[in-house]
Amino acid sequence: MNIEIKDLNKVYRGGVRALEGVNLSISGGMYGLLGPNGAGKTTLMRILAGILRPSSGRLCVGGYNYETEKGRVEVKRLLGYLPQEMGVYPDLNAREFLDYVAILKGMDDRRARQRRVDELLEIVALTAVASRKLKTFSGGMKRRVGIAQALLNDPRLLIVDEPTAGLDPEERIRFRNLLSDLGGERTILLSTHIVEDIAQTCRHLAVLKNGRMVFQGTTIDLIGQARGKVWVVTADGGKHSRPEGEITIVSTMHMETSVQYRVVGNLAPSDKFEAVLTEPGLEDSYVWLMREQRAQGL
Amino acid sequence: MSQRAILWGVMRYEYKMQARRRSLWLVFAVITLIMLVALPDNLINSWPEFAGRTLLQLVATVTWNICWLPAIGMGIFLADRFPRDRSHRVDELFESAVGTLNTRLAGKYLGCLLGTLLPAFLSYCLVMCVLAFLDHSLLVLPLSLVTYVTIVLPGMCFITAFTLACTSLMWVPLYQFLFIGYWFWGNMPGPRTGLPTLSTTILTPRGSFIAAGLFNALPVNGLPTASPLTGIASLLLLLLIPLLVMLLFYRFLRREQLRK
Repeated sequence: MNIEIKDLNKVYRGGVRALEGVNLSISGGMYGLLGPNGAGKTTLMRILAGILRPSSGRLCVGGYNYETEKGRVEVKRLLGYLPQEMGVYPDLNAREFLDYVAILKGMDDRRARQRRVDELLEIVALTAVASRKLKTFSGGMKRRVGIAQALLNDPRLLIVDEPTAGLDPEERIRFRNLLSDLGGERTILLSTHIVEDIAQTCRHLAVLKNGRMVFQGTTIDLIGQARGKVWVVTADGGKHSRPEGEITIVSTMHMETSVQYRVVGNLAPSDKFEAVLTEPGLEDSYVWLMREQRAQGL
Repeated sequence: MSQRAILWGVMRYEYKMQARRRSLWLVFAVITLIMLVALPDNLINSWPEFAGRTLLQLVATVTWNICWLPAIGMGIFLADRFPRDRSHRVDELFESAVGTLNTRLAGKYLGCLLGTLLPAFLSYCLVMCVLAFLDHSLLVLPLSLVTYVTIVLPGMCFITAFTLACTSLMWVPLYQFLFIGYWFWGNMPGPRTGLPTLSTTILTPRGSFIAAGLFNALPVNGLPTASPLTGIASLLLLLLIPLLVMLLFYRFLRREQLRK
């Protein structure tokens, strides 16, 4: 399913500019949306989910135009949405809550609805606790309920906003794998500020900063931008051996007799440490991109 | 799926969630006890007016007399139904679904109304069974159903609409406090304080003018006298005003949604 966004702007009441001239073209599969907190990712997701109206610009999903009510309703039929802060009714159990959401999504056949709910409870491993009230669920379990509700109508477009927040490492991996499996036959828009989630699941991504699209392309393209800018620095651990210059320290690891830094940027040569150029990862490239944007005053 | 099917589904779940509240049943159990204690007192203290009354007059009078108290329970327990969608953060999810705002709102209105009405109605039935026993007449039961639907239900529809709408703008405990205060001051028998109240107008959700106008209920505990026409006007207004309130409430929410 194609998503075409042209010159999209969103200004909130009070004049806060959340999105500024966003252009984006997504053709299918898994697509990552990366950016720091407050970059406008959630605003973009909410606009795509039909919750917010853009201030201006064009938005077309699967051939349906968002400017018309009819178009928005048609998109909602094809949509699965996991909001960043999804709540539940604490007095319903997991099965009832999913049934309720399925009704709101327009699934009219009761038996088919119940079958689908059971199927999804199985997928997210909640069958055993399906009759327990949601107020007794942990944060991770509620997140799984959220994932299940997003898949109820077998959506062709799945929008997931910070889906792995609050999940433990195992659950995160499980969820990432689930998304990758689903991405084979539908469009999935994954918004996150966790670079690792994008690195493990998406081939294409866009990066938002301060409401502007600062990168759009493949993960390989983004990694390519940081080539020659990522260093592994080994220093003796003394106060004055910390690498300096126009750099960002991505990680610090204390070894037995030394300290190893992973840095991104233009490293100033020094005799206090040993620096080796290394192949960038997606996180390094993201850090490099953000640094570049800051340098350009964005 | 038609919006009608979604409306039915929302109504069913809102009803379920409301009717499951333990505190709701507990409060209505206390209200039932108070009503049962007040019942013989109502009959004995008002005995002179009750002489020569018809059975319908008796039932209508008792219905009007005892059903002012459950209305407080209605106001209290309906107050959190709308704001909780926001506080539980389910509104964003629901807005992304195909169920429209008016469908969800109508489903919530009906489901909450019925869910809260269930214990109120059961407690009323119990009191009326006692009345049937005291009056040695089974005919009290079908008549009490008629008087409940005519005198009490329109007021409950009125309270539900105002509660849902007001609590979208007001802090729930504040609304509950103001509602209880208003209900006591507006409806408690005794000298009037001079403060404005709907209770002396045909808009009173207590159904005073319906009871007096349509059933010729006996003028006890400050029940006014009214013509049948006034009774019908009061009934129609109490049914139409909630519709109007819900329509305005919908338009307000819709505007808010579009301005987001």
